[in-house]
Amino acid sequence: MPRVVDPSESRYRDLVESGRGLICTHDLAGTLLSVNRAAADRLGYAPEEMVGKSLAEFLAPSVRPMFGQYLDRIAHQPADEGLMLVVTRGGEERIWTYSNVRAQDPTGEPYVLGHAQDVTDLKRSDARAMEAEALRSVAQLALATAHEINNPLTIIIGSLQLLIVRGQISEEAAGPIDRVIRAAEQIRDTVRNMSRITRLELSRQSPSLPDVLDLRKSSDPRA
Amino acid sequence: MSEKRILVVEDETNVRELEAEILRGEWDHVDTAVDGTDALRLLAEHVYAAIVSDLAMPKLDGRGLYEEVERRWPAVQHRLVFVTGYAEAEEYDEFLRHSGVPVLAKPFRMADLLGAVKRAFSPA
Repeated sequence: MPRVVDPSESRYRDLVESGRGLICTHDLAGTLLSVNRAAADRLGYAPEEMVGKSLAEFLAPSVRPMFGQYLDRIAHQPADEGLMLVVTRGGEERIWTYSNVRAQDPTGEPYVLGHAQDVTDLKRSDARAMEAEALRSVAQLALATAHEINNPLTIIIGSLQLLIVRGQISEEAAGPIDRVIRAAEQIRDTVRNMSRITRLELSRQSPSLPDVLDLRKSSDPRA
Repeated sequence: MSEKRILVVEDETNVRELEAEILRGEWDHVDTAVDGTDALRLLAEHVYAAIVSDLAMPKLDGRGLYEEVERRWPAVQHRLVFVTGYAEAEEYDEFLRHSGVPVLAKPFRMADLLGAVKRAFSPA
């Protein structure tokens, strides 16, 4: 006699199958027993291509060694949650947050019901926001530094020039004094570049710091 | 040597004294003010041929000074020169573009300061 599917079971299956949540079940060895379409789609596979394989195969190689620890935890605790780094068929790494619970099928066989969400974009925008914030701090520091350094530099350069103009510098002292002025002007240029660069960076709100922040390079007029 | 008066507005004592000393090599009468408010007091008493002012100052900054001068002595407005160690600061960008006041960046060479003042100089 064909099995009559209970309408509530059918609805439940629809929910899992057509829902956008990423759902799978696996045994305590990590072998996938079922994968819903949303999860398989995200990884670039059909559900049937994944069933029977170890979940570890879909993890990024860098985190695969940690899979044993996860299996150990879920075998001894009722639930486990955290972040996992998966890899799509195309080789792209994605960050999923998972919340898995251990369950039992009607025969008493334990299995794990996994539920995940792709949080890659969220995590990346968090990282970008943090970088932008760090950049703002650097820029503020650079501007404050410029202000504080430029006044004493003005005194050094201006006072030495006054002495020269007034003829109060002996011939022997002229060389060293000139070197001091040139060194002070070098500091001026560095400070100027520093504030200019950070401003440029701020206006771009660039998520990554290009080598323009390499002061050695950026203060080199030939660069 | 000219008989005309020059005004130096700067809150940093050392910088103020240095600027005044450099300018006194060319002009007999160089007055100093410690901020914009102090400068307004002197501007009410004397006519200045040129005003050299810092931008970022307590009480009344360079922008505030410019606005007051524009309101009270519009003819003097074009005799202003800003000297600033803060020229890269975004907060003054818009104002500097809009006002067109010449800006000399600290640290400067003596010749730069004298040149800037001479260009702004207007016989009162």
